Amino acid sequence: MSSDTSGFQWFGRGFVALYALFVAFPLYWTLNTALKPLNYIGTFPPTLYPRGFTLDSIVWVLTNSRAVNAITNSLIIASGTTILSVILGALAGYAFSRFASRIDPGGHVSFWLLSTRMFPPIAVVLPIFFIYGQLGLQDTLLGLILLYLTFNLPLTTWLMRDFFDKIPVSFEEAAYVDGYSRFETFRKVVFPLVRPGLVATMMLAWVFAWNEFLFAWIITGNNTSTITTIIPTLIESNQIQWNRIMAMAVVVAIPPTLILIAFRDNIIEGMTLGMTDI
Amino acid sequence: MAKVHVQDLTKEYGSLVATDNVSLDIGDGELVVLVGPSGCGKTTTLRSIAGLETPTSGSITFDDVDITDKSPQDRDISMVFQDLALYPHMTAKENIAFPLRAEDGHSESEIDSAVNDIAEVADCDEFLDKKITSLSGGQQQRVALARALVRRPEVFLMDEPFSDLDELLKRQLRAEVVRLQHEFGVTMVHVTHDQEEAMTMGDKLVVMNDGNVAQFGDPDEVFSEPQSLFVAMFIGSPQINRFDCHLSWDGDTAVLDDGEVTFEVDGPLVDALQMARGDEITACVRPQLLNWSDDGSGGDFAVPVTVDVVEKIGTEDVVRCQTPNGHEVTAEVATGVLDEGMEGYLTFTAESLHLFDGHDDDAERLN
Repeated sequence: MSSDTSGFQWFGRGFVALYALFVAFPLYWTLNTALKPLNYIGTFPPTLYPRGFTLDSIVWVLTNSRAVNAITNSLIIASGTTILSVILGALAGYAFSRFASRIDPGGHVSFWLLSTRMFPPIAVVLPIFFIYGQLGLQDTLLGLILLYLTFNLPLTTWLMRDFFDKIPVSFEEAAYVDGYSRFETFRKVVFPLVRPGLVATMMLAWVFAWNEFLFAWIITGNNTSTITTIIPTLIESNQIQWNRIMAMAVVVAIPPTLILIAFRDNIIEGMTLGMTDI
Repeated sequence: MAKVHVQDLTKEYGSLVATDNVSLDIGDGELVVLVGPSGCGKTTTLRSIAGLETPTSGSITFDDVDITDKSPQDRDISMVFQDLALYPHMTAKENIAFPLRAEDGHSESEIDSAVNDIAEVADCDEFLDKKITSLSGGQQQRVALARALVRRPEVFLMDEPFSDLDELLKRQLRAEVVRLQHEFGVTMVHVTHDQEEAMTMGDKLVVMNDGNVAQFGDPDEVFSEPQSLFVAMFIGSPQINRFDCHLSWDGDTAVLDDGEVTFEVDGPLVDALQMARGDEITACVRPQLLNWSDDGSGGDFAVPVTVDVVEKIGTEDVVRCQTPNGHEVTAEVATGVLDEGMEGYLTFTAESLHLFDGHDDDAERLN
């Protein structure tokens, strides 16, 4: 019995190690390539270490005005859309969770909201392009923030509704009976309990906006390029600047990684909807 | 402390009527138990008193002040919820202090001493600093009680918080709640579906069915003089024995015939039977008032039976018997007297007979 268990455990660990390698290798290769000069990148056989180690391409990413602008733009867009979609999504999610029978009998409204995520985004690229042209939103930060908001809002609303559903209504009623107003109740009872979910939702919304390519490529121009739209421009007609592409990838991977590390407990708790405390 | 008066309370959810003209008069410092099967409207009544439901019509007053339209925050009540509603992100102590923090003007030291005092009374002072999630079910109940009582509310409400506990703990906590209620003299409304809990705890019982008050009275009265067939069937364990009879008259003697057993009734019960609106009468008798007789003597009425099952409950046995036609009759007799398979009679006196005008739940009491 015990040997079975430990055998299974060893198998499990081996599998996890293998999977970790599988996931980590491309990341390592990105870093490896970013630290090589361009002329060593295409050599055969490739080297597992950064041969001719140089920080040139990293420095390029951090100093080139186009790259720096793109990073700034992406930060503004991702953060703006995250703040809006989490605030609005949390409010909507709370309403769907607590007043469903009044505002959404039959669940059609919330289903409609979710259904907007069910078709491939490319189906609406063209209409959005023309609508944005009419509204003067092409190539603006606000345009992308609003666009990502429409994509994020169904997600944040549904997630937040699930998190609020996990909190028994009696928790709030008990606070009302004890003399707390609705707002105070939300602040002292609901918010602390829903915080892990809120953080997880924020992260998902942020990462979506940070990583989005298709709409950014179509909507933005020279004024508002984002990180994802800068990278394809490094594929030039006569050469592909692999080192800069990879350096860009390394730099833009840093913020989500930091977020993940900082909030990992909340995120795991939130992602698994595992508010086991309740 | 306050008198609570509920007048013609009606609550409708669409076409569903949860409570239908419920009226209650709860005295200052009384412990009233609302009891009934699920969906009878007891919780709706309680939540209306708490202000968590807005009545469709009717009014609720505390000490003659109309509070029907006041929000729960302004009612000076406290409530223990069915799931207790203790906050997992706080310690036991923080949970108990929570109602006090809603009020302005308490200093930290005041709150601290109030929490410690009530924790001692509710016997939860040993685990005040623990998180709610690390407490056992019984400990959580005590914390919930302490939280509800810390503010010394006018009215204390409980929505069957004991339903998930094991039997022994349930009994302990019932006794505890009654003790605390007496100690504080607080007016209390308790909701339960457990008729035994209702009988043991309540100064008064409100037996509810289908959104109506079936009977309002003290436990003895409800047990010994149920006003409707529903109350008779619902209150009492083991359940009351029931004979659905047809009434006919033989001179001044009323003959009740359930198709197998006949009861020939004369004396004072005849007057009662004359009030019957039809010829359908339900005759009931408590298992505790049945006696075993080998030859059918020793009572006004006798039912021939065979002992089917004997359930030992300590000093007494619950004996499930069957008449020759298979009608089940339950008796509670001294332990060790009867064995499975014995044949004989269950006898009872005319005084122990409950007569109801019809066979439906709402059939009214005749005698």
